[in-house]
Amino acid sequence: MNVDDPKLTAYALDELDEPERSVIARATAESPEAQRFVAETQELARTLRSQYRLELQRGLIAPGKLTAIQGDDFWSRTGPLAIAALIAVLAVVGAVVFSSNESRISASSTSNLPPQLAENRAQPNQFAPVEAEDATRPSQNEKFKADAGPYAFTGERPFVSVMSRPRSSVPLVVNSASYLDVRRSINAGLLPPRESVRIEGMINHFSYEYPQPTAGEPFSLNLDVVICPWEPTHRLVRIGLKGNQDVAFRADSRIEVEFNPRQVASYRLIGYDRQETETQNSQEENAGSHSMAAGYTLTALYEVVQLKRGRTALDMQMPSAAGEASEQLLTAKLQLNTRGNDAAGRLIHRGVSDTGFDFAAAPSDLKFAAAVAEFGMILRDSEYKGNGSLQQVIEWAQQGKGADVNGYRADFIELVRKTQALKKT
Amino acid sequence: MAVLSSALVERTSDPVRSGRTAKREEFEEIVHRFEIPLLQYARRITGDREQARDVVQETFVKFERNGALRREDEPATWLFTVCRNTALNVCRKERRMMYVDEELIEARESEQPMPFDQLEQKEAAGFLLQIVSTLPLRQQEVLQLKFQNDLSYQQIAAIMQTTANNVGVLLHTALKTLRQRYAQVAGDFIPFKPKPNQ
Repeated sequence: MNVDDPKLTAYALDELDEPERSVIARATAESPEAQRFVAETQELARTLRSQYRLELQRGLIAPGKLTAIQGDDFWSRTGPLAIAALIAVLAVVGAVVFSSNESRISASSTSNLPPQLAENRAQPNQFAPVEAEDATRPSQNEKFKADAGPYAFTGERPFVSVMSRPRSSVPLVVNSASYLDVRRSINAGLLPPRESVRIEGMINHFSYEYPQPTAGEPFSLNLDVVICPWEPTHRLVRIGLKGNQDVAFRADSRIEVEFNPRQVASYRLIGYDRQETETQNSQEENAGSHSMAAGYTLTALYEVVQLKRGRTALDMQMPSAAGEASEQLLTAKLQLNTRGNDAAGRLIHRGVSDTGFDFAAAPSDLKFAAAVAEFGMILRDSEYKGNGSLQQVIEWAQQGKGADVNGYRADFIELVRKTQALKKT
Repeated sequence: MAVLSSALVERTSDPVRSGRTAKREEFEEIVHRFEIPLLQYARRITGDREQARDVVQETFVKFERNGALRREDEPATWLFTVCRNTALNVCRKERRMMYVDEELIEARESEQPMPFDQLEQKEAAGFLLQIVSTLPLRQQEVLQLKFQNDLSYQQIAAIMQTTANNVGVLLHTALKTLRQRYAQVAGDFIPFKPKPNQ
């Protein structure tokens, strides 16, 4: 019989009903070729099943998964009303309209993100869901390591389409111990293991100068945009927060960033990569309340891909009243939650437009933070490290060295030099 | 907002509402069971992890809202169908709104089936799935529904809005190509032996 027959495949996979099944069974019994085909098909099916199952298991062990769907937290605790809230959010996405030049303090009731969802999305170390890296879609840059197999976990935050996700959030609490681990490793003559390189921790190991909060405000929130030094077609956005007094805030406090879909195509929060071994503990460690030391600062960087102008249907749907050039790229809000009083969350609200500033004209602190970020990406062999090199990291860090009273930045530059030497050997 | 969340906790922990709780547990069990398979499925359609999550989230919301739990039949067909339609809607919407953008078009193109000769590591575990990624997307979809989720031709046909006959043809063609391509790299396909430890 003809083995190139879908019926024979269906028979091998036990998908035929009687009487068809018996007909094919009889025909197969008379043909060694058909028998071999059936056996091969079944063998192939078994192997495919086991490989697909393995893919699912890789997905299951990944941390975080669907933070908003996991029954142990969001769904079981909040019930149907939360689902209604979720539907509301889904409806809101895509219909986000930005007001321009907003710079004010207001009550948390102006937040248009339902608090249950927002909290669940913004807990420190409990990031967006992670499935296993999809082995069937290896990206062009992805090189498989033999020992790690095709599922090698990188945990890197990808670029996110603003259409699908206009909001992003940054927790106020960062563990900056990573820098010291990296430093120790390099000083001992070893390149640090990828998972030990936590870029947000490295950036925030250093202190940066931001304006003092104005009277009556607990924080100053500062936004800057420059051309991204490692990928000049992109923009680099710096968000800087400074506190001037000891404020106790809950760990779910965060900066909420909302991107303007008329200006931004996609964005990437630098650092905050997911860890393969992230556990419940790492979340619990960050639970509870934190007091802010005097001089607290937080620095977060986003790499932003702007929309090519004049090409989108969205422009016609959302005509701009103001001039397009001055329209904001994004707005950032500080959502400060204090213990025992969710309603007391206060918001500081800032927006920023693209200035088109060259990186050379960037504030020195921004240059330094960018140098640290790129250094981290090179150490992680990040897919997103762009055109930057260790030599450029040194140059940017030197340009951004500033007064460097305690010599930390000089030490960083030395560390990059050592890394250069290590990479050569 | 504190008032709202504490009210929710009280509602769900009220013993009078134990029927509701049992239902919720059943729902959670279904979420637990289908979450990852649906994510993998949506990911293959949208090519984007973040979007896949949104799609799956929306699928479960629809499932809950439509009281699909009350239905007697196996929820798999319902879930995969809704997941698929939601994912396709996302793709359509995005293409209409956004994918005129050059960079994103490039990103899309990189998600097209991979040229077979570009596969790098021919011995790695999971290599067969790498070969799968070189097949046309519709064939990949049938393989995933069949072998990752153990669905029948009938169920797959319902999900993909086609006939069981067509599912059979797609699957037959996909397996045939897989065999050929495997033989091309493995030298001799017969007898096909799965690698140990899998």
